[in-house]
Amino acid sequence: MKKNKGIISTGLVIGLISVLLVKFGNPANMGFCIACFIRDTAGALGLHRAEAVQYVRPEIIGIIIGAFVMSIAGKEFKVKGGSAPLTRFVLGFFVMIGALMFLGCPLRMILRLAGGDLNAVIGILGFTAGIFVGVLFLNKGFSLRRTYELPKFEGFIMPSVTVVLFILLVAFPSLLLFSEKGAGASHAPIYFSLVDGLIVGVLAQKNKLCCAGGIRDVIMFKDFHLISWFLAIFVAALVGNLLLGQFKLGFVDQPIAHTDGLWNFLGMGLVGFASVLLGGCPLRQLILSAEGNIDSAITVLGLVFGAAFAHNFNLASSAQGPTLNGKVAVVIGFIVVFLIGYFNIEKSTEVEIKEGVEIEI
Amino acid sequence: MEYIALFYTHYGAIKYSKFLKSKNVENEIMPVPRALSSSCGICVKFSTTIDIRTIVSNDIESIFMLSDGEYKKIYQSK
Repeated sequence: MKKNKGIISTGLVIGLISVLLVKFGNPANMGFCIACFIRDTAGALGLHRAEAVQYVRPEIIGIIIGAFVMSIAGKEFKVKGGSAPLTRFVLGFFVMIGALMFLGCPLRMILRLAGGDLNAVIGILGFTAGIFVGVLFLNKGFSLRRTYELPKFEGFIMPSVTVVLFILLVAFPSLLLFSEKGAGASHAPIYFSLVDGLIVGVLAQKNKLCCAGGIRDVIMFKDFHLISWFLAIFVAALVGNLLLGQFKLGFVDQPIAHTDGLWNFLGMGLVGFASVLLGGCPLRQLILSAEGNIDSAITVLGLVFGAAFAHNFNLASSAQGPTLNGKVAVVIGFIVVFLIGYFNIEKSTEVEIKEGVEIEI
Repeated sequence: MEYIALFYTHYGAIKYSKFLKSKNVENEIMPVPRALSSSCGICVKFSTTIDIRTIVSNDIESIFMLSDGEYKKIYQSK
């Protein structure tokens, strides 16, 4: 319990911040949603034309800058990449397709539950099932191969892009698209969102928070360390929502959610499956991209592309439920992720021993 | 001596665990401790008297050795 104290406090803080973001203007049960916020940001840049979801979310900028600064301070900023980048892009794409079927990333899934949205229970079951399938592939030998050190310059691109985005948001907003109504029009004040994002970025980097990793560790090792923050978020957000009157229990008429259980299950199943093959949930990919992991930066671009594609081709669900196009896309997503899993299983069980190794003792 | 080996890939750790078992070296696969790396992968913890230099595989990214109750990095792959 003692070793989990830090990570539990982190979860409690993030849970409370999430509730406050809703109180100050974010959409209900969406204090944080990495998928939704990337989707909104893609919309603000005109990458899709869904008018209700266009806004450069400062939370995303804050998360990346917070994690970047933290990784520099902790001497953990290491620029590396080259581990199947295009495959990761495709996996990122389908993580977003699954998330927009459910209407939320794993982080929003837990926040939806804390707001009383019982559809999230189905999502959690699907997410866990997807992770379980992913773990089967890992144990069979799935691997996207090793990373390599890259020029340091590469690692500064992602944080720089977010700084440029923030400058556009505050100094040149006319260059961006802004929703006038809908989820994109609901947001907390810019600097409040930015600071909250910074706090989450710092905490998530420090504690290597990952929604998929926590469940993976429970399945593989019965290790509850990494899942403890996920549970703490739930507790803090639940208490916060109850105190602020933001809690509404049930399946029906939940904010930015639908009640189609099968597709909620499958959407989050796809997110869990692809996230395990990627080695982390969307939040974790953001953090890694800030630490200099170019493969994760490519994955984030896959998420952006998936979000734009989902809204340009009517794949994203709405409160009315999933679309036919979205269902087809999720089925295709499962097929593609299975194929990626299958064709990346290493057959060799041989261990190649290095010669002339130098050890510093 | 007690060591923790970190790997480039998940499967690298699984293969190495089996390799150690074949050499009768007791080992445990576990999540990478936060103190050793920000990586969210898995690692292999093992104790052996075998010269560590002779059992470093290509899949290993770094190795830490338990010394005075603390893990000290003794190997980093380039």
